[in-house]
Amino acid sequence: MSRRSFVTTTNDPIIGIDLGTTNSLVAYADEAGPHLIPNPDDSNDFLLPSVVAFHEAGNVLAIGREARSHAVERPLTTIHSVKRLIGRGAADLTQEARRLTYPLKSHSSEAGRDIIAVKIGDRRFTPQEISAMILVELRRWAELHFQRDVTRAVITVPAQFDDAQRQATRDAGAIAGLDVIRIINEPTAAALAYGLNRAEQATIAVYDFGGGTFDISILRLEDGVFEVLATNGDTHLGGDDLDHGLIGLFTREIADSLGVQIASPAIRQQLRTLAENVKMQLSDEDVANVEIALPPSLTRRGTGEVYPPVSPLGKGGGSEAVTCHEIYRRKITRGEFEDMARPWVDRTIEACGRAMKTAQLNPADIDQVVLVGGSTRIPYVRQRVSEVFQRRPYTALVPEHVVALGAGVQASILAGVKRDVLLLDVTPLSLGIETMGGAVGKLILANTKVPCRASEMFTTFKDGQTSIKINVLQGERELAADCRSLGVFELRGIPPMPAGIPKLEVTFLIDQNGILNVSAKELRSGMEASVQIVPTHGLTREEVCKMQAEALAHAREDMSAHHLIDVRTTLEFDLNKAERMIHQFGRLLEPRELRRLLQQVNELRDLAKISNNAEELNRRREEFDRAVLPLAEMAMSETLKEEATKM
Amino acid sequence: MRMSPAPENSARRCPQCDAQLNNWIACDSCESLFDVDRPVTHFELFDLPQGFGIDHELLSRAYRKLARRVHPDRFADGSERDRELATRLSARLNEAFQTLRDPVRRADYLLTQLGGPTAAECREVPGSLLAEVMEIREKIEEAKSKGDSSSFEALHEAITARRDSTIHGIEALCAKLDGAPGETGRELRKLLNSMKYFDNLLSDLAGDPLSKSTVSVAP
Ligand SMILES: [Zn+2]
Repeated sequence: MSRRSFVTTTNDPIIGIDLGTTNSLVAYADEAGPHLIPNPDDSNDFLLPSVVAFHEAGNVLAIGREARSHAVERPLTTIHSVKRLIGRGAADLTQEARRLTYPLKSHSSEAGRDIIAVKIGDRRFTPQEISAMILVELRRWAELHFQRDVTRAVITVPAQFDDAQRQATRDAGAIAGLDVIRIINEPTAAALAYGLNRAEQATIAVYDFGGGTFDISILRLEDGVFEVLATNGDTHLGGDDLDHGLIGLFTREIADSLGVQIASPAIRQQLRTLAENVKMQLSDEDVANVEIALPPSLTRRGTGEVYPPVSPLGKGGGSEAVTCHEIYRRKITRGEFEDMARPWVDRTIEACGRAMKTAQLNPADIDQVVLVGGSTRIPYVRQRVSEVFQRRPYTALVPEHVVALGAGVQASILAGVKRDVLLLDVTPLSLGIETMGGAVGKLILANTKVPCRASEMFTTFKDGQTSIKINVLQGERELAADCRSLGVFELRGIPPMPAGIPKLEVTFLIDQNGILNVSAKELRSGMEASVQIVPTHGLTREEVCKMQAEALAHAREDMSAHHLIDVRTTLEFDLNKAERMIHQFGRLLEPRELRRLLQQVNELRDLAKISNNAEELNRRREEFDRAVLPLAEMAMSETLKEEATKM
Repeated sequence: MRMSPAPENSARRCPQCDAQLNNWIACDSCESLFDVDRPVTHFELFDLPQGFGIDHELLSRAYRKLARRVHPDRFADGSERDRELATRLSARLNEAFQTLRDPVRRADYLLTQLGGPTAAECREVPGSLLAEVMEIREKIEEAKSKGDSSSFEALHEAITARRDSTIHGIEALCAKLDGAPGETGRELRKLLNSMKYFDNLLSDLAGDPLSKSTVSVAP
């Protein structure tokens, strides 16, 4: 990939970000097309593992590849798969929480709110804040690439993400100091990336099986317009599930054959890595070897929960560890893996059928099937997709790259660089309000084109009532309890009137990002009512602002830490240089002057060890440089004289 | 069916650049957006004659053309007003397109244009419908208990045929609509209301794993 400078000269560049469950990428597009932005430390590396590792105290240790390498040794403080948590509450995550190696805590104890956080040391981090750290790193890549500030971004989300998950993603952007000008759906982005070189007219199915989510979208491409006809999928279904299928198998077999229950996060993390490797190996080969050494502290005690099992300082260390390790070993065939994967893959295939039904299309009407996401590398997945659409999938682009490239294309559309293409998307879920008896009154149906709008009339029950509360829901089920509550919207400022007289028109608008906006108007008085939202699973505007400020403050701390290191390094360099000069040319100085300089060198060395004040160190260094100046001049003329005599 | 002539757009000019306007919501020349200044019908929006019979190709083309003009993505760098207006106009455009594209919603919309009421506002259905639906539902139960895939297919075909004939009936009644809907309108509403019953029967049938297997090919 060649490094190009951004072509729009006046405006800041807009970047496209694929904020993935497993990896995140950043891209942009110019007239030549979309390009991925590489890791500044390795120009062949485009994937930033979506992992943040923390010190026990709660400060960030590493982000990305390095963070991932800490996963086994620091399972409790290495945070991965945060996309599975974003915009969700504890009630949604009972299943997910069991799989994570790190613990989840409730973030807000307010009534009606269910927000989770990861607890590290004394600090709690919401999934939004952790996602923001990943975004900051990608932003850094982009800023180094463009050599200028980057403040605007397009971020992709799974098509099946609900309003809370979309808002939370946008909030993560805000915390990272990015103006998220557009949230786009991942399968739609993929179609954009592919569509660039495609024929003028085509019906495309995008099968997007990523680490944590599954989407199927069917699009019609005509006159440069990408029109989403239908979308379906599952935010609880991804390649992670296949990994956990394997982990479950290994765990059961270890329990059966060795009588050990695995409870340690470190061993679970090892099994996770093993499962990922087995899955990848079986994509290329028919058989994979599974082998894991269980530490003696685990097996020696026989059955029962053992924790912590891996402790390098523990009693089982040294040579004993080598002799007492129990090995769990087996071969697994592709056939066995496919049998295990079948139920999950079945679910994706059923969703494909539903999407075709919504679009009123048959497999024969689909011109192209595009594969997106790492899980589509699995041969069995490809085989099933080929069967359901009765055609071989198209895989010209790297499945892990295609969403980011599409986000880059959308960024260039918004920047006005690319004007011949337009995206028309749909809302994945029905929107409704809770009615009497806990039922749902649907206002906007799933697969409606966005932006879309619906209005509903409300009135008061009591004389003089000035506010009304509405529970807004998203989902396909008939009962409010089975749908996702987006939050309670309180309409305030209704002019006091007898019960039933106010005519309150509430407008629900889902914008092009799939995000809900609510406004209300009392029709008799013409007064706008204010809408207060208590987001069930999201952050308030104030919370986002506070987190943004905190993130900025931490960035400044980090920056001053960097600054201090720089000042110390420069000081050290100057002191060493001065010492060499003293050694070589000190004889030219007055003895008193010489002593003074040597004393200063020692003083400054000591100060550099104890002082954390970068300003002071810098000031003292400048003073010292001035004091050394006469010696430096003498040294210079002496050197010239020596040179002259040599000639 | 009385065909209203397409609205006279040619007389209208853009207040911004004075170019001739080709539609009601945006200027093709300077890309300005306009709040629709009078109640424009869904048909007028797409420059199509009002009526049940519709050229779907023309509708789709007109929709894409207008969407290109008013979609908020075109105004990402625009003023607050433009972005708000683009969102509102796009919502209106999407509503109009989805209404006209679907035969049931289109017929219902025609009813409201002629003074209503809509089908949903009066819940009447054809007299024979409920007995017919009961009978089909019994057959579905029977097929389910037997697990007989051939009778599933037969039922699917039968219900789809009834649904199609109802759409033909709707089309015929729409062609007779003229002025106030009256008795024709009443018959039309009955047919429109019966569509939901057929759709429910079809999804009942599809809810069974046997009929689903026609979609998800077994490995
Ligand atoms: Zn104009």
